[in-house]
Amino acid sequence: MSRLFSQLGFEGFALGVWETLYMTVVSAAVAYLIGLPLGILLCITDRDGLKPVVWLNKIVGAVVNILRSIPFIILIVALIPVSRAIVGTSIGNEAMIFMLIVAAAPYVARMVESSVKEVDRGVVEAARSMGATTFQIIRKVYLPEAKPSLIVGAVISTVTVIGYSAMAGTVAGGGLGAIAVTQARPSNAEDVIWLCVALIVIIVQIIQELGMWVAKRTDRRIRGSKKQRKAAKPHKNQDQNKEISV
Amino acid sequence: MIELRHVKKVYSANGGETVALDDVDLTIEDGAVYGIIGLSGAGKSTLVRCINLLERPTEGQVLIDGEDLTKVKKKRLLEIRRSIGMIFQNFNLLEQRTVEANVRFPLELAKVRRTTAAKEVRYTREEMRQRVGELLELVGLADKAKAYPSQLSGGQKQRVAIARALATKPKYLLCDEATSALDPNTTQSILGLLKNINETLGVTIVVITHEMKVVESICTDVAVIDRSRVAERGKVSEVFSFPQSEIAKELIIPNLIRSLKSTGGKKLRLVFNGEISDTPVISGLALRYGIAVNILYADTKNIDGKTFGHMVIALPDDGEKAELVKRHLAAQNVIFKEEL
Repeated sequence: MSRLFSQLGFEGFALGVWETLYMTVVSAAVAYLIGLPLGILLCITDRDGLKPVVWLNKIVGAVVNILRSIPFIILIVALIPVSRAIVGTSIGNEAMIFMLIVAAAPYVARMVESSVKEVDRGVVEAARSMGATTFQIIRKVYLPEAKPSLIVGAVISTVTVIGYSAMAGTVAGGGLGAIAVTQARPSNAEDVIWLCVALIVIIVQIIQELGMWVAKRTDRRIRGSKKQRKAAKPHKNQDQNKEISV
Repeated sequence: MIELRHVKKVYSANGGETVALDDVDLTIEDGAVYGIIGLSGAGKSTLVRCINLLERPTEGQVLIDGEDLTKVKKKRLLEIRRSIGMIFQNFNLLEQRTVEANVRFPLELAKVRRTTAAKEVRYTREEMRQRVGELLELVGLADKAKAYPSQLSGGQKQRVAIARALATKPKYLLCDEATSALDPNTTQSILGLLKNINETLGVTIVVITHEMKVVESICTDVAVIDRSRVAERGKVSEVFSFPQSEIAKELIIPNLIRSLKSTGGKKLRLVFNGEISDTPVISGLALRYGIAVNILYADTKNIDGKTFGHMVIALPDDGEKAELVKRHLAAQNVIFKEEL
């Protein structure tokens, strides 16, 4: 057992877990609050969306793509001055949360966009035929019908954020990643590194399994007996190639 | 009354233009079951979507009870849409909602004007519950209220869709290939339900289909759409007895046309439109005049003791005999037309 390992002790690792969870949950939650409306916006302003506004769609899409294409480690450096201006500091967990939000929100937006686009166009058309407003379609068709897929997207986004949060050490933040990179690596405390990795894997596993379980439980399309599940499947495919004669 | 006046719809994509509808005029009287029939790609789906403006016509007017939908404000359009129910080939139910929640859906969207209050208000929970109960009773699915769509058969799903479309008590019901995904038996039961709705609730129904049987079994009026235009329209009994346009003949009596083309010589086309009763016309010929004619084609059916359908017989080469045949048919009140 390395010196660092005993130095950290249970409390040191517990603090690491806590800080990782804290950064992940707060930034994933805020990123979702920003990404959800952005994703819906991307979907409905699309050329064949409910309210096509092509220029707005292009601008938002471009911003999202730019932010998503910058490697996170570089984004951190680039965001240092921005963080200082907005959060008041460029170091520590709070600065890290800010950077995680900036990185994750565009990711969430694309996830939401793709989930919402999966909603059967025919169902949206049916709602329109009943005189539903755009807002009613978002609230009563898009979100509830896409719910299982949205949950899966949220889980994937959260797992991505956990991965990013390991880079918190770069801005003097905490968490398991920081322990492994900034404390354990210089002193070659391999046991500490491996425990941090193991703890992160466990956290990811728990979030992943829990999220998928919830997603499956809320999905009304696949509940019921195996027979019904089979019966439901071909119908789904039929919906996809909805024929509109021109 | 639904009136389409000179409706034209052009889709432009990738620089090219596709004309989906061209100068379409239709008048659908209240109480009718109006069939719109055509091959796929003829423009009938676009046509039905122009009625509730899911597709906005490039040119022309869409009048619902005299009000031009292409000119009304957005809010009014949404209101009018609530008075026009619609059902689809793929049912388009909300998969994450139970049957009763699906039927409740349009009620959640709508507001009602009450006589006592000046402002429009939402339906109350109790009103919704009661209405949903009535509707499920009407379509015979009261026991499936708590089921999810994925647990239902195609026919049951379409029944839910019908209940949902009728929730806001619409005056019109548009059916876009509503039975095309169903097997023949289920199709018949859904058509029976639609007919019943038309008769008991007085809902005017517009049926889009490519299946003759659908038009035959429930429609009062029919329009035949071909290559973006109305090729022919009229009462079903007339159009089906004497289709004028090539496309209508092709759709209504395809085998008859084929048999006319495949054999030479003079032929007679007989039309039975229910005006004569079930008398054995052709055997009469043989028994009375000793003339045996060749039946080249026959598709007749007996409904309530009346004969409907078409028949093609070969005329004897002997002119005198041919005259006798015609005279005999005329005496029997059979409508016939000489064809080559």
